[in-house]
This record gives sequence, C-alpha cells and structure tokens, in this order.
Amino acid sequence: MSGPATTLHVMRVVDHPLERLYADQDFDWVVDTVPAVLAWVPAGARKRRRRPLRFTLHHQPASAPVSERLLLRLDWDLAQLEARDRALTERTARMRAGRTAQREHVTELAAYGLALVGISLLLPGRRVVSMRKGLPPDLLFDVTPGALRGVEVAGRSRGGLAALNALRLGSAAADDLGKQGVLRERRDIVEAHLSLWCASPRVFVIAKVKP
Amino acid sequence: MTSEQYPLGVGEAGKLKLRATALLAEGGEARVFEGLALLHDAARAEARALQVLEHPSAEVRLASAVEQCACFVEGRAPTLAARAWGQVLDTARALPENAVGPMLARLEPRYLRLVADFVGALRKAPRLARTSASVEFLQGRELRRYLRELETLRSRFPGTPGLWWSTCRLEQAQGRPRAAWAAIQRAVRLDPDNVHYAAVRLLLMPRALPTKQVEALLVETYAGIQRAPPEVCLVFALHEMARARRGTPATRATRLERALEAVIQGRSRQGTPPEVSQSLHAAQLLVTEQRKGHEATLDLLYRAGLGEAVVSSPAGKRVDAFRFLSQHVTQALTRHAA
Repeated sequence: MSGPATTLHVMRVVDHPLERLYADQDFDWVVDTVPAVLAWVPAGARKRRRRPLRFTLHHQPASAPVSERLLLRLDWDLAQLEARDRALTERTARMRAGRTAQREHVTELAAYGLALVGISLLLPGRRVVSMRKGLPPDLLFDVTPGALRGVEVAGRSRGGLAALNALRLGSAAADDLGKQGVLRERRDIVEAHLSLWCASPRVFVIAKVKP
Repeated sequence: MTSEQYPLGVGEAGKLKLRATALLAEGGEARVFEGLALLHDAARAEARALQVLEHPSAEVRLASAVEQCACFVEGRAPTLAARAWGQVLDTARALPENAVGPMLARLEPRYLRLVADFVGALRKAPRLARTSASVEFLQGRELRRYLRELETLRSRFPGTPGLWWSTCRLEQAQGRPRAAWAAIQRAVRLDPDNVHYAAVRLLLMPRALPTKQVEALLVETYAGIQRAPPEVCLVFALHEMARARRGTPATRATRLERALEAVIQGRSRQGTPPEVSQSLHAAQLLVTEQRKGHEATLDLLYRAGLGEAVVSSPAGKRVDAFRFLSQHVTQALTRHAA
C-alpha cells in the first residue's frame, strides 16, 4: 500500500531530456510515444505549457514504507527529436487535434512514453522488449513464460495523486483490486512496477509493487 | 522449454501494438484502418510466438489467448474477438479460478462491452442479417437501406473483415469494380489467411487495375505459387488461360505453361474442397488441350465432374467451355466466402 508522501522542505530535483529515451530504449518504443507525450502533457494555459514541465514525482522503491518525493523537470530539444522523427510536428498536431475516441489513445500512448521516462530515471539499464494490451503489466522487460518482469502503466488527465492512488489500490467496496492488487495476485509475474501519471496537476507515481 | 524465438515473436507483436496505438491516436480514416489491421497482425504474431514454445503451460497459453482476444477487441473485430474468446474460455478451464480471475480482469469487461455493442448494432441492421447471402438481388429502396445499414455497421466495426467482404460483393453487384477492389483489399488486409478473400481479390484484379499492375500482381502470385492455396492457384490459372487466348503465339506458350504449373500445384494440396478440386481438374484438362492447340469442349468439364453444373446451367452459358468454367469458379468462390 502506498504511504503518504513525505513532506520535505527541499525536494531533490531530477532533470530528464526526452531525447535521452532514444539512447535508453530501442527506437521503435520511443518514436511512436514521443509525439503523444508532446501532444498530451502541455495542455492548458500558456503558463502551464512553459518548459521544463514540472512534475511532482512520488518514488517508492521495493519495500519502502513511504515514497520519496522529487521534482521532475521534463524538457526536450525539438530539433534533436525531429532528427529522429521527421514527421514529429505533423504527428503531434494530428494527435492534439483528435476527437474524443482518439484522445483516449493519445493518453494511453503518452502514458507509455512517460513510463519510459520513469524507467530511464529510476530503473536505469532496463529495456522494454514487448507490450501487452490484454493483461498487465503493459510494458515488459522480460517475457520469460511464467516469470514476467515489467511495468504497468496508466495516465489520467486530472485528479492528481488521489486519482492515481485510487487506480493503484482500487476499492474494496467495488470489489476492485486495483492495479497493484492484480499484479500481486498474478502467479506468472515475478517483478512488477507501476508508472502512473496525471497531467493536471502534474503528478507521477513510480512504485515497485512486486516482489 | 523456452525457444529463443519466443521473445522475438512477442517483441514483434508488442511493436505492432504500439505502432497501431500511434496510428489510432493520430486519427484519419486510412491511418485508423491501418492501425486496426496492425492489431490483427499483432494477434497473429502472438499466436505464432506461442507455437514456438515446447509444451507451454496452461497459464502461458491463457495469457496468449487473452492477448490475441484483446488485440481483436481493440481492433474493432467482434467476430474475430468472439472466436478468440472461445479459446480463452477453453484454456481457462485448465486453471484454478483464483488464477484465471486476475488474468481476465482487464479483458472480460472490454470484450463483453464490444459484443453488446455489436449485438445492439446488428439489431438495428435487420436487412444485413437477413439478406447477406443474396445481396446481388437487392434493388431500389431495399438496396439503399441495406447499404445504409452496412455503412453504419462498418463505421463502428471497421476491423471486421466480413463487413468489407459484404461491401465488396455489393459494389461488384452494382458494377463498381474499383470500389469492390478497394473493399476486398481491406478484407484481405484484415484477414490475409482467408483463402477465399485472397482468391476473390485475384479474381477482381483485372476489372479494377490497369494492365501493367495486373501483370505485376500475376508475376507476384506466380512467384509464390508453390505455397499458394488451391483457390488462388485456380484463379491464377484461369487468368493465364484467358490471357493466352487473347495473346500472341509467342506469349501463349509461356502463359499456358504457368497455368498448368498452377493447376498442378493446386491439385497437390491436401484437404482441397471438392468444388475447387473439380474446377482445378477441369482447368488442367482445358489447359492441356489448349497447349496441344485443340479446341476445349464441354466434355472436358464432364470428365472433371462438373456435369451436374453444366446441365443445370442456361444454354447460353454452355457455348464456351473456358467461359463456363470461369463463371462457375467466380460464383463458387463468391458463394463460399459469403
């Protein structure tokens, strides 16, 4: 279970340039998620689009009773990103202009992209090798049958830490185990992390939930 | 035992899913369709990956079935998702309930929602369900209503190959070969393993494409004739025979040779349906006569077992043995795919 975020007067600051993902992960996992990150995160008023984007990051490593609170500053060099994906600007524009049905996919894709940021920062050296649609975890580091390792991902437009905790822990009243409960119950998963993001307010939770 | 190929297989499937999600997020009719098609590809890649494992556990088989079904659910293909759901239920029987529950927690509500949507949409499309086997006979107001129902259903479930196949038949019946071609292309893209779609695609090609493209596609088909299903071999042979009849003596021999190779390949396949087998036999007899420079007669069709079809056809159709066989094959393939 997630403990309350510790109150610190000075938060440790971590910087992450988005283009670093191309060094940390295979090209295919990055190129399709970056436009969604650009389309999804900088929503709202001009002030909210100012870069670097600041996220409150709640990091809970294995067996830590409480999470550490950090300040994540996410930035990017558009020229460097465009050097990897020449259609980046058009793709981002198309994702921004999308209708409701499309927006769900943008949120999903952006959450994958931001999960890659979380992996770069807090699980260095881990590389995504596959992804799943039908059962958690979404992003896999290791697909060994019966001994899966990976990250379960979710993104929310609003609701902040409370919305992310509800996703994580579910609700006993609604017979919902939450993402953490499902991952812990699954016998074929040996290592699982959660990567949960909220766009407004900007909150990021990354937690190791198994073992 | 874990094969080294398994991680590559599920890795490929994963990348297809991510690419599909990106296309769906970008929107636009063509991109969305390609995104749905990639999800179908991903489901097939998951199935192939499972096949390389020796004795996979029930849990691994269930995980693969769940993933395949989820791809079809997200790929807006309720009929294919239903087929995969059957596999999910069947595999789940081998596992205790407390293991199955968490594995179906995400898929089950999504699958049930898709099916409920599809059933609801079908209820509002009574003509589609009632007349799907005889669209060629629809006219006037009934035709327009059928079209409207089909378009509505297709816009909601564009990943369903059968809906593109119905569109193809309807367009063909209305004398719009290019639209029919575009529809069959989409049916084939979604379900490339369906041999009837592949054969009908080959059948429609000359009516929709310029000669150069037709020739290029015939060359491509011939290059893969040793692995082609018998239906494709048959249609390829008929195309070459038709072109041999119209072509110069110099090209005639080559075309008839290719036609003969195709029918021999087609006849060598196991489990060929009897009507396809008879037509292949008839094509072989016709092409053999053509190669000798003889006139092909109806007797050859009788010898191949098509006598019943010959006597029950109108007299006008029985004038030319080759044209009779072509029309017979067209009808048989269209009926079968329906």
